[in-house]
Amino acid sequence: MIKYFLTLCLFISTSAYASLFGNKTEQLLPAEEAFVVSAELRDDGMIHANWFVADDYYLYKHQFKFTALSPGVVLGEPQIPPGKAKTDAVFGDVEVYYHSVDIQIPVIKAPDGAFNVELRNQGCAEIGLCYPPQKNVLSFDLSSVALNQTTSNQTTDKQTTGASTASPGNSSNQLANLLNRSPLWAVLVFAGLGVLLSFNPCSYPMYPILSRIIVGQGTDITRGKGVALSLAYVVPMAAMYAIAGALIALAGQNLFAAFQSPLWLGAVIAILLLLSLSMFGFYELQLPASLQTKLNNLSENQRSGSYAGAAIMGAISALVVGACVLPPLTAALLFISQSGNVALGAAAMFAFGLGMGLPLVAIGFSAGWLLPKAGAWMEHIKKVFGVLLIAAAIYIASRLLADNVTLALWGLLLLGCGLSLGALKTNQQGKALLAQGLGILSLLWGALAIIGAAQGNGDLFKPLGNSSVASENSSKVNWLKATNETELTQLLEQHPQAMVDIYADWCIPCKVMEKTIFPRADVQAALAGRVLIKVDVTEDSETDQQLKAAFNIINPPTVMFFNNGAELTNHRITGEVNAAEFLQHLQALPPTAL
Amino acid sequence: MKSALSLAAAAIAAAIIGALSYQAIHERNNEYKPAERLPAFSLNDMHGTPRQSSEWQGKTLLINFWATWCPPCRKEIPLLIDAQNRYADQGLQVIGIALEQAEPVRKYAKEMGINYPSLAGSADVIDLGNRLGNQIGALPFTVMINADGKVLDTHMGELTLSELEALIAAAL
Repeated sequence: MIKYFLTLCLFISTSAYASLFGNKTEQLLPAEEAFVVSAELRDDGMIHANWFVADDYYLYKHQFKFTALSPGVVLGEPQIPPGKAKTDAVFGDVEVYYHSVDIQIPVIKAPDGAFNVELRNQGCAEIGLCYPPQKNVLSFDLSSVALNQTTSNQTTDKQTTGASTASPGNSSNQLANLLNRSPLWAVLVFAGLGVLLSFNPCSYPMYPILSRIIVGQGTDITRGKGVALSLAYVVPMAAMYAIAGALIALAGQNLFAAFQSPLWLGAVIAILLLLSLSMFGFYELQLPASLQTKLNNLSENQRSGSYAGAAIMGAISALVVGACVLPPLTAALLFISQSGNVALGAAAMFAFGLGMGLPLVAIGFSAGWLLPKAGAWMEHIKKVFGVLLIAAAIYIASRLLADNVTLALWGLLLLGCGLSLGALKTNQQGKALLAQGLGILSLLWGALAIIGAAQGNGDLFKPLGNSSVASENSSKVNWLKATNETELTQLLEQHPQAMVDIYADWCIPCKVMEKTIFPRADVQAALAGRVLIKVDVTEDSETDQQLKAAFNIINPPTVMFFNNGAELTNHRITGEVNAAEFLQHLQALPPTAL
Repeated sequence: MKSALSLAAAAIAAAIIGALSYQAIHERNNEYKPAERLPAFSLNDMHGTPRQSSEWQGKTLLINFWATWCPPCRKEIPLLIDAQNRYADQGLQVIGIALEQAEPVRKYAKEMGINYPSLAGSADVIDLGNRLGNQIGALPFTVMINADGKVLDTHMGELTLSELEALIAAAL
């Protein structure tokens, strides 16, 4: 059985490998990937900046420059460590940094609220090419730091737990900083993330799978056996995550992107739905009889078979659940992919898998205390899990669908639950009456959700909330307007970090995006540091056409992103996207303009 | 146990679908295509005079993107000066396009005795380089264009003499 499991793992990893490296030629990195900057303002009043330098690339010490962009901000002398001596044909003896460099910039004075600092760096690659100076504009907020300082003064507490936040849009940098401290620390952080994410809705299907394995052992299950079985489940699951971690470290973000692709998500949704159908008793998951006998012969004794079964289920659950937990892990995974450290990637993700398995081991340890013994309840619980599996499928699908479509699906699920709980039956008694009560609630909620969805709402907990309520979480977007090519070019010169939205009144997707995506608080946060410029091409006048030709724009909606005044041409969005896609797209942007 | 194996089959199917979808997406992301012909451009030269690409129509062009702050770029300048000297009568025209302001370019051109037009700019230069295939925006970047305006070859990074000779030989 173990052999089969190993073959499965090998197969998955090799097929992933083949697709990743089959057509990948040795590539030069764009500056944003060769030199990755992250920075945070800590309670020592200094900006702690770190540059991650890819192998065979280096940064010049004399090219670092730090400029406060907001009025009233005074920066002190930056503390730059000595670099490695290099004799340069042009600059003579210079100091350069390989792999990584940490620089502290004291903030001597800053007004309340957020302020922007430009971190400029310039570097080259060993093979003989150089990058233009990169200018990263990062925003910081001293107020939260000052607060920490006063509290720590009052309590004369030397704890540095108050290490403060960088800009709101910068959480991935914070995380990267956290992870950068030491490999052990990174592994611990990942384990913690695992425990947190084990309460993710997609993890729920793991519980019935494992509990069926344990409960299926009969009534005499011991604590030791429970733990052993759950470990047999959890360790291979963690091993799958470890493989993923190693691959991500090897392959960078491409693999990660693959796991987010609609096709992959679609496959996961299909598996979840298939599983749920079996939970409802539409069919029994079974192999052809011939294979079954072969397998029975292979797993000569029943006991080892159940462990192997647990192991296989664990590995598979990682594949299914992984699709759900990867998005919240984006920042952490980016860290792995940037580090390129395979051992660290594998260790961190292994720890993550163990963290996710902790509640399962707890179930195993309880050995029938947290779980009732086998019996008729299994039939009911199977249905509940069937519903949970569908819920997990909808949860994943929500990333691909418009919010109101998702809400409609939730509504249908609730309606279905309500009906199967007997909401519309008559003459119910006892327990059935209780179920009917729940069923009626579920039915009503489902109906409201469907009505809400028809009105274009998307929030399951406020299905009828009108759009003004729905926009509580959103803020007004401050657009700069450009009407022709010259204006746009000028604006881009003044604001080299920008997002440009090509808009027209007659373009429905443009309007949808304007109303539902750009004002969202999370989108705004992800766009922090970028100036938003809107170009209205409603009239399609001659100047509009000129502008479109100059920027190679075919039609609205087109969203362009500019770093250092140059468009990230690979990151242009044409056509409608939903909020989730847009956020995903923002996350994939090179970090220069954070 | 049985259900576990059929699930395994489903998971393998999912993995294959995932791998294929990755490939599909990867290909879609690679939609970027460098220009096959030299796009028309207008850039200021180091004296601030606007120069149009049409000025060099019909010539074999060796366009070198560079900057004075880029050590490998500076190293290949003597090779380019030499190439301009040797192949000018066969119709070769070297054009230097610097990614910086005119002032340092002027100074350096004088110091080195650069014998070919030197243009300078910022976003326009990055954009032109990008359209010619310099996706990562690094320097030096050299583009060989034949007399018909067709982009024959590009080279990222410092050129050796033999690489430069090979580029030119293919164009003339």
